Amino acid sequence: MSKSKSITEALDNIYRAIGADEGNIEFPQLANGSVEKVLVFNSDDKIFLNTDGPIPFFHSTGEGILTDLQGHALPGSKGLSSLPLTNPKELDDAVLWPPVQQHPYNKPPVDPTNTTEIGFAKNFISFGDGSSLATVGPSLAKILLLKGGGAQFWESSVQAICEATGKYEGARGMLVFAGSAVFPAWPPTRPEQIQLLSKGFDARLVRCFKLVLKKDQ
Amino acid sequence: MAQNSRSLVEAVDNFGRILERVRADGERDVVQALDRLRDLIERNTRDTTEHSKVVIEALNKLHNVLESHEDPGNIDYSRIANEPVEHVLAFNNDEFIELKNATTKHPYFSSHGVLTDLHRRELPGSKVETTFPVDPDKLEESFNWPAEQLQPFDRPPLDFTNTTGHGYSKQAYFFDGGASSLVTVGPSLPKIAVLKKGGAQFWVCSIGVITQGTGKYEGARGASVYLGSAYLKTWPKKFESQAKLLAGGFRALVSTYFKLVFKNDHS
Repeated sequence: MSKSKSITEALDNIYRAIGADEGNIEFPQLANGSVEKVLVFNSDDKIFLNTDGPIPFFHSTGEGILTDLQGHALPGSKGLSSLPLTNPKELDDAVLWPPVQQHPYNKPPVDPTNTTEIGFAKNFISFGDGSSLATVGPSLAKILLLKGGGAQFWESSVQAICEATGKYEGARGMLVFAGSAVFPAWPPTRPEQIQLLSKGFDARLVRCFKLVLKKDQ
Repeated sequence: MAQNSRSLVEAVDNFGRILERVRADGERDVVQALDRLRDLIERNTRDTTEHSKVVIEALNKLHNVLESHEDPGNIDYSRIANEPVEHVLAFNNDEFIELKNATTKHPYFSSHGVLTDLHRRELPGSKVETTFPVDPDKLEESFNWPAEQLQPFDRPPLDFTNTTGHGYSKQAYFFDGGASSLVTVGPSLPKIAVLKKGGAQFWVCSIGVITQGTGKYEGARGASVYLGSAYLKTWPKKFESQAKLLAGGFRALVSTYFKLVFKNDHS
């Protein structure tokens, strides 16, 4: 680093030097093997429940932005998603939790009660540099009533890459995300809940991709 | 993001507090460089009130960056929690996985290992154990990928072909020598990409809903996702050989993300 001419320049140089990770979403230290890429980031989405058609669906319309794990925005990025509620039991079971699992944990049996009413979602992530990844796969919702009358709403999903552009064109791999929303007041009846969700709500989703580029397949 | 300081003194104080934290992490070179910088600031800002505003701005930027510095072993990512009562944990599992009962009709993956932070620094006293029973008849589906989806992406329809061959798995994570733990269960989806050089990248991703917790996680509710990957140098064509390979065990790196609410915050 060249010698700074002012305090501000010195501070800015230090800022650049130590702030190199700001906006970083690549975690090569988590990759297994020489060709895998690992991306980890958060997305701040605005989600709506659309009830206009015969099948209601949650969707985020790209109003949100991606951030690194410290919350620093990735300029030009966005996420789009769609989750049709084709299975009415999905919301009913969202407030039910699975039973305590038997020891040992590295051997069967597995009791999946209350984790089987899944839906399917598709996601599109645009990274702001002309590259994008689209995915599809099963999703599971859970709702927890909080002290004071509110609710924490989680939607988790495991998805496979179905389309990719830019530097990811032809990539194969997987996405997992854990999304959450918080409602200060959660109404007791389903029509009121639908109305609340239809108005739109802020959601935060931590997302992780593991993928292999086309040239390595 | 940190609040902006209202004065140069406050900015330097904030800076100093962060420096102390960084010092505790043992990053001496960085600390020494920043200490020299602080000395420089202290010597040069006594009479430069006209520049104090830009100095404060620069200090605030530094403060924000240093405040987001990740402590070694940190798995708490509260900055991306959906406040006020949610907690976000992000970590990696270094696992050794074996396919048990490989030649029977009821094989299952069984794994054990340790947890690390996202920079692969081991969490002392941590442990992970999982099991994933698989249907041998569905293994071929792991090679099939879903079709390109119709736009727009923010509304139906969806074509979920080749994403339905999931099973169910359970996972247990132990922290601080077993003082705290989280157990989850949920659907898991495997996929395999055959690589140019003849090997394969093997992924299993899963949704895990919390079933039980101990220690600081006792009574916690929430959900997790994990995405595990294994790199297999060779990938035989016949199932019997694949089963033999997987039964021999392999190393996996699993990225795991929890969103949860503690017992005292839910009804």
